[in-house]
Amino acid sequence: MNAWQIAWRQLMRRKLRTFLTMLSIAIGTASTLAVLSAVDTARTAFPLYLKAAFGKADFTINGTDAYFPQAIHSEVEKLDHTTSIAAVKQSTKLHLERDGISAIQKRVDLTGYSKMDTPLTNFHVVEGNLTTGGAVITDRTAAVWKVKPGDTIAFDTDKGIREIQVSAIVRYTVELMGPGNWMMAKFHPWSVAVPLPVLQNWFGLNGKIQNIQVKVDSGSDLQAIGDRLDALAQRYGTVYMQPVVLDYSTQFQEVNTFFLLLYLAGFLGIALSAFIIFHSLYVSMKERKKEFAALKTIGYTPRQLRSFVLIEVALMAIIGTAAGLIFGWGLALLLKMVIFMVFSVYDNAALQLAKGMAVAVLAGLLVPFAAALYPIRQATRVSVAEVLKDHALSPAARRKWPAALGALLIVSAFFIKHLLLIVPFMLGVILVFPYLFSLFVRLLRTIYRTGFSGRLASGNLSRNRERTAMTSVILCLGIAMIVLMSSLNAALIQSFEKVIYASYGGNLDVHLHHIEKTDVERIKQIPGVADAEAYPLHEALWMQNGQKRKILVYGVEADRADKFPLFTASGKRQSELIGQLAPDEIILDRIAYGAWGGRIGERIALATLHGTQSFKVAAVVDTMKNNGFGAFMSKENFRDAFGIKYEKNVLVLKDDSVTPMQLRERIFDKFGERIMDMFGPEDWVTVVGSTYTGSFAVVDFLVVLSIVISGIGIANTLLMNIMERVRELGMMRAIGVTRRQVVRMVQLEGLGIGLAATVIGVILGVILIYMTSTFVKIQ
Amino acid sequence: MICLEKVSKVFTLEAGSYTALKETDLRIGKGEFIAVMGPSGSGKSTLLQLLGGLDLPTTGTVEVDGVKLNGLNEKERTLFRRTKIGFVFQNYQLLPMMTVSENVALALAANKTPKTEIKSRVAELLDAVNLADKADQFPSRLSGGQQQRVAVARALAMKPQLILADEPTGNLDRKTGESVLQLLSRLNREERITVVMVTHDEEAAKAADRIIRIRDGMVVRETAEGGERA
Repeated sequence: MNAWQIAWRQLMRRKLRTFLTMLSIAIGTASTLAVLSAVDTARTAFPLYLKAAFGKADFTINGTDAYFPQAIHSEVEKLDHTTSIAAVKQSTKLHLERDGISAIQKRVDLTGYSKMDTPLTNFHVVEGNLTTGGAVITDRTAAVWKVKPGDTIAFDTDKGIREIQVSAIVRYTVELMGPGNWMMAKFHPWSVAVPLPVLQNWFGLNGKIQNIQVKVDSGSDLQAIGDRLDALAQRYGTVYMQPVVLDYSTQFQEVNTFFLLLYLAGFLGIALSAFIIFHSLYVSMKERKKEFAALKTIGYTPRQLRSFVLIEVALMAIIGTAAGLIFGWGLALLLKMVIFMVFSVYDNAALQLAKGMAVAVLAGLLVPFAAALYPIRQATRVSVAEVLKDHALSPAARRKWPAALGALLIVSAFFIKHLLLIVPFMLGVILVFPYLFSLFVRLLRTIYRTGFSGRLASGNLSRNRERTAMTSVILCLGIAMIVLMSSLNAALIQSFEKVIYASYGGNLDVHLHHIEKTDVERIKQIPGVADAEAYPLHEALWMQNGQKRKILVYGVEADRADKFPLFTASGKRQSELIGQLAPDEIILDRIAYGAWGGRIGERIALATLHGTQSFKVAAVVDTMKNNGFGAFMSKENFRDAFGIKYEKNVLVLKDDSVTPMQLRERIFDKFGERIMDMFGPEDWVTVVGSTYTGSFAVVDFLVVLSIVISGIGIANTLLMNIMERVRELGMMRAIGVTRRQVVRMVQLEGLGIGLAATVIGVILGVILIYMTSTFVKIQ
Repeated sequence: MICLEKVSKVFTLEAGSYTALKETDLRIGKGEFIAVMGPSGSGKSTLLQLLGGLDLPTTGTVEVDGVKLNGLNEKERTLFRRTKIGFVFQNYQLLPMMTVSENVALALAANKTPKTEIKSRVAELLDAVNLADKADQFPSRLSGGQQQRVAVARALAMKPQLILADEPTGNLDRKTGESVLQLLSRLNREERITVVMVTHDEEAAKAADRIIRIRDGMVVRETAEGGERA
């Protein structure tokens, strides 16, 4: 007697149920594999990408003025064991006669490099050559401009039209970021790399550069070379050296919350499939009571009965897991692609499957066994006397402890100030759900009582309460999650929007190449501009646990801080806070404050022009300027500390006569190629919004998969209800109940299960929203 | 072989408690063929379940083949049942996903009997019930009489000393029912297997050596084949 063969035959007796149960195992396994693999891949790839994209150089040298002499680069080049490039960046316009393309869409950031073919630029050539002295553009830009190597492109500069041949098309890279189409060009300029002498010649900057990037040869003493560069910078006085710091936590602040949500969605997938397996087996065991009773009379021990069922579970688990791994692999690829897209990481990282595969296989095989334990126990406890003679012994009294435990878990969730509260909350809901379901069916009865089929359906729902409630809870949890996710998405975006507008400092932040004395006045005179204010900005270094980190420090004019607020603070006005700062005091934003880990009144050490200097943290404020993670000091103190005498950014307030887009166009018309970038709060809201919406779309997709699983559960239950009541239905038909009435009754039962799940799910979702709203907000 | 002393069985139902057997005393000798008769709900099936160790009496003792079933735990009773007792039911209770031979082999497999021995024993049993040609068929392909014969073969697999049959002819037509009764009689005669058969059918009961009549949980009459005995 082949036990596996018999188990397979048993499964094949209920083909559809077996298929649906295996499908739920497959979906659970797939969601586990996909989430773990995609998140693992992202966790591995993001820092590498950051290193590849932003960490090509080990040190940078910048000037205290907008430009500094190229001779300094010649000095740097003399250092052994280093590679370096000098660069200058200028804004210009593409010279292009084409209808429907406005001036703003032709903005181009030109970067002049002293050398193109170096590890510092790290251009991956798609077509052409980097050493022939022409322009370099990305494949994305080439596709929109419709140019190829050898073609000539032209730019409108102050000194007239300048032309250059395209020498190479390279793969899309951070250095040459640009829009993907003409529409997006309204918001972002194009990027082109040209040889440094060409750019210097075009813009009259001979002998001048803006920045030097230095890479130390591998194996060389980074510290020693850093010290020499620092000494060189100090000798000149007009430049300063900074090591390149890759700050993963600053760059991908929101990534961990997103990953946690993904983990929760993956957990929901496997938990719901466990529920389906439990449910299928539970019903199957009930259905096969007589078989188990017969086996008991023959002399089968509970252990032998268990092994009978366990072989069936093993078969379903093996097949379901195998299918889940194949499906999960595809899903993981898709998920990885979406995650990378959401976080704008352009990397072709290989999928990290090992851990995901191991956990998914374990989950796919063990979860069904765990879910089968209780139904199997029921099978071994079948009373032969009761089953074989259909004795209606008194049903076991409903145990009170699951409801009490469920209520306790739900209450405990209220005290957890973390998204993980979802886990005890949902476990609690599962335990109390039969009571909620009863309550709902009682309400439903008042609606259903009008028709014959409705009365029968509500009666059947009550009669099979345990089973139907078990099915309904699966869908209910899925719906609660969807409600929570949608709300979290909207709430987060709204909160971000609020803080962004309150701390952006105006309606537009114009980043000019450098600001001349009259520029702010010129902006103020533009029709539609209500006011304008320039501010300095510096990326300062600080140490945390022996690691160098970066923080954006803003120089704020106290008198103007209320009109151009770069942060919000409760209780005090911005001008008050800035005005009260002593020369060695600084204000941190909440994200930076949290990362720093100190307390108000303690001191933070920043790298300044005068070496490492400590500042007392005087206050904590909120800002979403440049994604948060900022510090604020008075403009005067800023200049003293960092020695930066020039400003590059102008905050602009508009009046009601212009739209944000018109404002940009008018400023662009006035300043043209001098504008490096223009960014408004609405752009920032779009960026943040699309990141979050994209993230939540991924999570929602996984939750929808869970809902598909719950659909399987409902189909399973209805199927079982019908099969179990074949005689009853036959009897009803015999006494004159029409076919339509029978069908309607079954439909109303299904509707009842769905309605209960939806109504209770929405209510629970709202409760979850309330619970999470106490801590999910922008800190 | 079988000795019941002051056996009572009380069930708890939703509407209250229900006494299925009241202070029942009964003795059945080895090799007897007993028919138990009585109206529905009189306690016949309860008696059969107590004899088979499927249930325990509320009070009193049940002794089968010198073993007091009250003193055994669930597992011991299961193992006792496996080796000493064979069950035959009105609805046959064959396992639908198993072939005829697999159904017959069930108890042998549970007892970890070597495969070769199982094979020969199953062939022998199917031969005895005239179903050798149906060995690889599934129960759903057999007639009611054939299914009941498979059930009898399955009950005999472990060479039990007692067969408990609950309405074995209840689902069969007269002719088929007679053939099943003949099979049980033959086993009783030739193998000296004790048979206790619950039935409603007076004709079927004639196959027995003794008829025990039960009403309201009590033995009211015992008659020998064709005439009153006590």
